[in-house]
Formats: sequence, C-alpha cells, structure tokens
Amino acid sequence: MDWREKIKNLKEDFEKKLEKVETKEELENLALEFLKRKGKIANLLNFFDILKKEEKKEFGISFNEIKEFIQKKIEEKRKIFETKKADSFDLILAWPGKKQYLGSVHILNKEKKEIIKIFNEIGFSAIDSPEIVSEYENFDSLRIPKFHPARDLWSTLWVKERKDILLRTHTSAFQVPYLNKISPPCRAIFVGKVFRFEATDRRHEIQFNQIEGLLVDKKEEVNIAQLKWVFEYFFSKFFKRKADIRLRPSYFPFVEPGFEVDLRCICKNGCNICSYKKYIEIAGAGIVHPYVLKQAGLDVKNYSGFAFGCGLERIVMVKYTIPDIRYFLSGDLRFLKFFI
Amino acid sequence: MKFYFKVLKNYIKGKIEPLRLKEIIEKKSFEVENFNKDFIEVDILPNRFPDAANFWGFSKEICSISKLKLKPLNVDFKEKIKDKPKLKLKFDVFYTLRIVKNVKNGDSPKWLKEILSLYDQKSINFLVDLSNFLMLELGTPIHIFDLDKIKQPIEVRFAKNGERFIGLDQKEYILSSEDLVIADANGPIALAGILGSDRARVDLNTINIAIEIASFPQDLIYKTQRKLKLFTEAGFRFERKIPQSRVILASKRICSFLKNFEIGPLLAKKEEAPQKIIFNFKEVSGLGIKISKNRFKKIIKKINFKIQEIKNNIFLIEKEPDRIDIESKEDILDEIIRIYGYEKIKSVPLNQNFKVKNDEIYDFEDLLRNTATFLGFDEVVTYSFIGEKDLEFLKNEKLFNGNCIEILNPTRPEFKFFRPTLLIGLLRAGKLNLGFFNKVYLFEIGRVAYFKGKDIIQKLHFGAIQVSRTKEDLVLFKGKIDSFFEKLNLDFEIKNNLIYSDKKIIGKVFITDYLDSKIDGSVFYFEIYIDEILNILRKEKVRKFSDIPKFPATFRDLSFFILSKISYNQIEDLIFKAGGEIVEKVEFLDYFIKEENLSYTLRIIFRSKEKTLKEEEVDEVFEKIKKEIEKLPIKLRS
Repeated sequence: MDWREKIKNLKEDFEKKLEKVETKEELENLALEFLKRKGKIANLLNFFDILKKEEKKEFGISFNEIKEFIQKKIEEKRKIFETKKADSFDLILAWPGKKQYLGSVHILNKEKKEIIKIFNEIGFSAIDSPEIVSEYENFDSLRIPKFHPARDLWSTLWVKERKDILLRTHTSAFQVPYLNKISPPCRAIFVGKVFRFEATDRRHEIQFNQIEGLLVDKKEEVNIAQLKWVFEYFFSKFFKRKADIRLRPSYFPFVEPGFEVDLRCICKNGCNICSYKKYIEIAGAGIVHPYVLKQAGLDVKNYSGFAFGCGLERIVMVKYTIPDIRYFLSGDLRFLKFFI
Repeated sequence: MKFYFKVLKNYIKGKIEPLRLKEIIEKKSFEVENFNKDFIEVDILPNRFPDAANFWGFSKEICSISKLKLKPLNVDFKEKIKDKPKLKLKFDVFYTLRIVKNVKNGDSPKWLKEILSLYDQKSINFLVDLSNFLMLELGTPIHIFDLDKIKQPIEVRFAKNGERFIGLDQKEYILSSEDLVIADANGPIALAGILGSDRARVDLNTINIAIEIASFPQDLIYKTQRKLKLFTEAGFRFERKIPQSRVILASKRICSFLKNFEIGPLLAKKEEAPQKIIFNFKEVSGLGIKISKNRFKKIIKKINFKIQEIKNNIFLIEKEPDRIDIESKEDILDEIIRIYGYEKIKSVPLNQNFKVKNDEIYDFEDLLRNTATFLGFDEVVTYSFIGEKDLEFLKNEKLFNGNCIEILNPTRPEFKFFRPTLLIGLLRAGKLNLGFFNKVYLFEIGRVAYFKGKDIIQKLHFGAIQVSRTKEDLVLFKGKIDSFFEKLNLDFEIKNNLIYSDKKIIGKVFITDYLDSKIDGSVFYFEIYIDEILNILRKEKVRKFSDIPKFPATFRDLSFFILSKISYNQIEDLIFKAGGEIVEKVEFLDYFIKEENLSYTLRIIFRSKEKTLKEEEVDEVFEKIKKEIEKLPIKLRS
C-alpha cells in the first residue's frame, strides 16, 4: 500500500474512533493506540526505510502533520472531558434534585408557635387549658348569668349527659381556673380550641381557636395604656409591619371597661379584607372585672388585671389573605402544603 | 336598631350632621352596622339595650357624646276619674296599671302611621299603634286590655301546669308553673311580657281600657320564650330588663296622647331609689390617661349623673335611673374613658422583667411535630366530633369501647359525639386527599374525650395515618413507627393492636387493607397518648455514656422465613442467650414477602471488649445461634 493511502486511512480511522469516544478512559486508550512507542503512528516510520530519497522529505512532512494532528485532537478532547466534568456539577446544582419528602406543620400550629414566642418576649407564658369545661367556668364565673341574654352572645354546644358541662365557647373559661392555681402577679396566654353552635360559612366555623391573654398585678401596675402597648407589640411582630391599633367601646360582661380592638388595614381607602372599613376588628379586651378576680379569691382592693381574646384563624386569615375559614379544618393538602 | 334622623329630630334640638354623628357614635358608644343620609343602624349590646335601644334613650346618648341638646318630652295630662283596677300581685314584680274610660279607638293619625311604617309595622288601630310606638320611643312594652272583656280582679301569677292560653296570634299555648301570666277570674289574659290574649284585646268597639306597663323579671321571660319557642319584640326587651324609671315615664307619656279621655290614677309600687356609687378619683389611673378632676366631673355631668365630692378625691355619684347597666365604679370608669376618648390613650410598655415558663407540653408538641414531618407526615387539624356511624365503626373494630360524650345539640349528625380518638378525622382527611394523591401520610395532635364513670376524661393524643389507593407494605410503616419512638427515646412494643411502654398502654394501632369501596388499598394508623408518654419520660434517668468500643466489630446475617406467629423478643433473646457475651446487638436488615411467606434478615453484630475477634470464633458462635434458632417455628434460608 502506498504510504499516502496508509496515512489517509489512519487519519480516517482515528477520526472515526475519536467520534465514538465517550469517556476519558476511552480517550486515553485511543491516545495510546496511536501515539505510544510502537503505536500506529510510530509504525508509519517503517515506510521511511523503503522510501525513495526524493519521497523522504514529503513523507517527513506528512508524518509530522498527522502526528501533530492526532496529538492536537487528543489534547482538545482531553480539555473537553476536563471541562465537561466541572460543567456537569454546575449543571446538576442548577437543576432540581431528587427530594426527600418532608411533611408540613399545619399553618395554625406554625402561627401558634410564633405567637407563643412573641408573647414569651414580653413575659407571657403559654398555659395549656381544657376544651370541655363547666357552665360555671364558661359563664357564671365570668358574670354571664343563667337565663340572661348576654349568654346568647355565645351560642353553646352542651354535653347531653351532664347538664352543667359544655364545650367552651371562649378561652376566657380558663381565667378563673388558672387564677385559682397561681398567685399573682401573672402573665399568661391560653391558646386553644373553642366551639360554637353555629352554621358554617366562609367566616364562621363551629370549631376554631382563640388566643386569650391575662395579666394580673398590683393595681397601680395595671392600665389600659399598657394593654394597648401589648397589642401594638404583638400585632406588629405577628403581621411583620407596624400595627396601628384603635380601641372602640364595647361590652363583655367579664371586663369593665371593655372594648374592641381594631387594626388599621394595609389598604389606603378600603378593600375586601376590611370590608371597605379601613379597620379590621381583631380582638376584644378590657380590665378584668373585680367579680372575676373575686371568683379566684383575689384581693380586689390591691389587685387588678387586663385580659384580651382574639381569634387565631381570624388573624391568620388577615395575615395571608385566606378567603375561607373552612380551609383550616378541611384537611386538604392542596391548602395545607402551601404553607410549608 | 335602626334610627331615622327625621325621627330623632323630634327629640333633639339643633342640626344633626349624619356623618359626624356616625363617627362620634362609633368612637364613643356603639358599633355602627349601617348608615346613610336617612338612618343609622347600630348594634346595641345587652348592657345598653334597656336605656338606649329606643328613640328617647338613643337621643339622650347622642346628647351626652356631642354638643346637641335634648328637647323635653311632653308628659302633660290630667287625671279625671278616680277608678282603680282591682289588682292582686301573687308574685312580687314592678307592675303598673291604669284605667282610662270612654276612649274612642279608631284610625291612627298620620304621623303615627308614618313612624310605624319606617319599622315595617302595620297600623292596626290607634290604641295598638300607640303602644307599639311607645315601645320604640321609650323601650317599654305596653299592654292595653279591654276592661269590659275582663272579669276583675286582675292577677299577676304563675300559670297552673297544663293551663291553656290563646294568644293574640290565635295560637294555643300550654303553660307550666314557671310561666308568669296576667289573669282574670276566667284564666290568663296575657302571657306576661310576651304576648297578649285574644280574649282581652282592644278593638274598634273598645270603650274602657286598662294600661299595663311593667318590668318583668328577665330570667322568667327568657325561660318562657325559649320553652314555648315564642319570641316577641316585647319579650326581647323584657329579657334585657326595663328600667323602673322608664315604666313610670311611659305611664305618663301614654296619657299625654289620651288627654281627651277619662284618665284614672296610676296603680304602682314606689320606684327603687337610684343607686349611688362611691368613686375614688385615684381609680382613673387604671385607664392609662391623665385626666383632671374638673374634666372628670364634666364628663359625669354630661351623662346626666349627679356628682358630689364628699372627701378629697372621694366622690358620690348618683347615676341617671335609666342607666341600669351602671352598677359599680368599674362602670363609671368605662363611662369616663369612652366619653373622654379611647383614641387619646398613648401606649406604655410593660415592665420587661417577667419570668416566663411555658407548660411542658409545648416543647413536647414541637418534638412530635418535627419528628412526624421529618418522617414525611403532613399535619392536619380536623373536627373534634364524630357521628353515630363512626362510633359504630370504632366499636366494631374494637378501637373504642368506652362511653362517648354525646352533644346535646349537635349542628350535624356527623358531629354528634366528641371524638374519643383522632382516627376518624384522619381517615376523613385521608380519603379526601386520595382524590388528588395516590398515597398520603397525615398526622394530628389534638384532644380526645370520653366518660370514665361520670367523669369526663380529656387527653391530648397524637395520631398518624397512611392512606393509600394500593396495597402497601406494612413493614415500611412499622419502620416509621420505630423511627418515631427512637426519636422520642422510648422503648415500646405492639401487642394485640395496643402499644405498650414501661408495661403501660400508651397507644393503639389500626391496620386494614380494605376500609370501604373508596379505600380498597391500605390504611395504617397509630395513635399515642401524650400524657402517658410524658409520665414515662418524666421518670427517665440519665443514660451514662459507654465509651467508644476499642476493638472492631464483625457481623453475620441471618435470613429466615417465619412459619407461625412468634414474637421478635423471643428471637432476640435466643440470639443473645445462644451467642453469649460477644453478641453486641441485633439489627433489622431487610425483609421480603414471597407467596405470603414473610422473610426477615437480621444482622447480628459481634464484638468483644477484650480483643479483636477471629473469624473462626464468630463462625462457631453463629453456628450455635443458628442451631438454637432452628428450634423456633422458622425456616433458615441459606
């Protein structure tokens, strides 16, 4: 065979093989096949001896060309492999990984934890409280007498077999039992479920959560200005914005004076969230009525307190603009997983 | 209650500016529900209903919070006859009665019809319309009897059990001894404070009348209305109490409209003297405002209370008699702050040094939540109620056999009982989510309750469920339970669907591969009792650190089919016993199921405390173990 043809074949052979190379190892094998001592390129030199003198120069040039060509191609490919490796890490990191499935905590419990944390910062401890309570705890101890329309402000679910037992309609039912257990001064919050005999719709549920705050201290240490501060502190932290608080006269039998607490909506001129009122009703509060403190045997000459109650679902709905309270109890993961 | 500005004008001097009025009412008095240029609708809560839910009282309220002035109410009339009705009060109640003779009943004047029509009330005849109007004007329900239809004496008494009463509405009511009635010799002529009778009603032929205005006890009216499911406007007002002062005022006011007729004297007990309250000015510190004594006195006068400083800073306050909601110094504080203005309160930080201690349950709940979510469970919160069918299911599956707490007035049949387990809610949530996912893992932390004898037991439970459309491998779920308890640092054992720890029952499991046509896949569930677990963990002692082993371990794997029910403890005990000191621990390695035969592979870890074990030594012990194990109902795989 003519040496020219031989070189041409060799080049084609190399290019074919190079194209098929997929790994670095294959590339190195290819390099050895052609470039090692006694490799395919070196073997070309066998022609040298049998060449005519005038051809020797031409052969020499061709030989160097092909050798350099192969060396260059191998080197190029090596570089590709090296950069390819680095590139693929980058790529993987930029792409989605295979995830470990993580469960999610219910949004109400996530917020509950946050709320407890905020109240802890200002001295309030979280205290656990029962859901099924006596009529006395829920009503009588809070100046809501039997056969009085004030009771109709809370529609009640009663226990059938025990006439004096009910599902608490508000967390205030724990005020007197708690005060009976401790001695003042105290600062506590009770967060938990309450129940109402009610038709359900977007804004009403038969079961929801309340946050109750109770502070009892020496009379001279207790006033509404501090209570207002507690609201400003809590709601600013909770909503992660400066909370503008407004108090408005209202009536709850167990506080006097008693008032509603409104939060300025984030809108400028009214929106859906505040029903175009610019303020959102967010809590009820007041100075604990001495009647209530007396139920726990406290000396009302020297002690006073303030209390407040606020719907957990309500403030979470405002915070995240959730349109329907029924989502919370739906168990629907399409809702719950939003808050992971 | 709705108030029309054109009506209020009859009671108030000066120009009413609706928008300004609305704003000040919101700030100082009541929540405004509706408002336009013609009317304002306010929510008057039970405490202020007696004095303010009427034209006169609302006008008075407006004048105490604004610069507007009240017009005097016309109460002019002259008594012309001396006739008094015969009255027997068998029950002590503030009750007034007055005879008016030779009345002419007929069509009502235009102004009266107009006002009633604003409140969607049809004009009936002058006397009926007048009493209806006075209820709106003064808040006092008034009842007018046709005197000629009554056989005196008139009695105020409790009904006899089973006594029948036919109301103005032509319906018959069967009464009991807790219902207060007004009666004559022939029986009830009115259900006190709620409904008049057909028999003694005034009509166009009526000539002589007896006008009843009273303040019936709230609780009696409350009970009777609910028992008979008969709710009237009068009843609504009596439940909220009628001030005696208003009864007297109304008895005069009505006569001013009956001047042309022969008015008799009022039969009434003496009004209670208005209550006086001693008020220490220092109490205003609780309001968190700085207010001068002068300002304070002005506010008290503005709401028509009398005030007198009897000692330095000690005041005697005589309330306006209509304000029966005012009972104590706290109520006075409430008046001061609302009139002064809540918006003037500037917040003051609480003293920051206060020791905080949350109940221990909150940390533990965190641990449960972190562990469950890490194991891939999503938290739900479900209704605390179950229905009849759910309870039946629980009993059939032997998941609960105690006494459930039944709700007297459930809102729906599926909410008939308070839940004794978290299973039902989790199953419901699981089924719901199968509409969108093939398999879900859910958990809940919540209270359950049931009867124990007569006592109600309330416990906090944790429940976790796997619900799937297809048959699933229980061994994987058991692995989650194992990991869960490992994180709680608690040894446990499951026997007969109950979870035990420290020899106590601390939970239960429920496993099925067919629940209903909707879940023909599998349901795996476990529930644990948090209080019991906390009790065990509280007793927990510090586990001393045993040093990192000095010599290397080696292991052998043991694979076998289980031929009949055999406890894991039995195998483990046997391995330790047969293997002796050098068996360090036994671990689960793998499992498979072949034609319903269950095969496990356990890994036995060998280690000596004194030396590096030789392979031959381990082999020897391993053979010994195998020999012993083969005595159990298992088949070793090679």
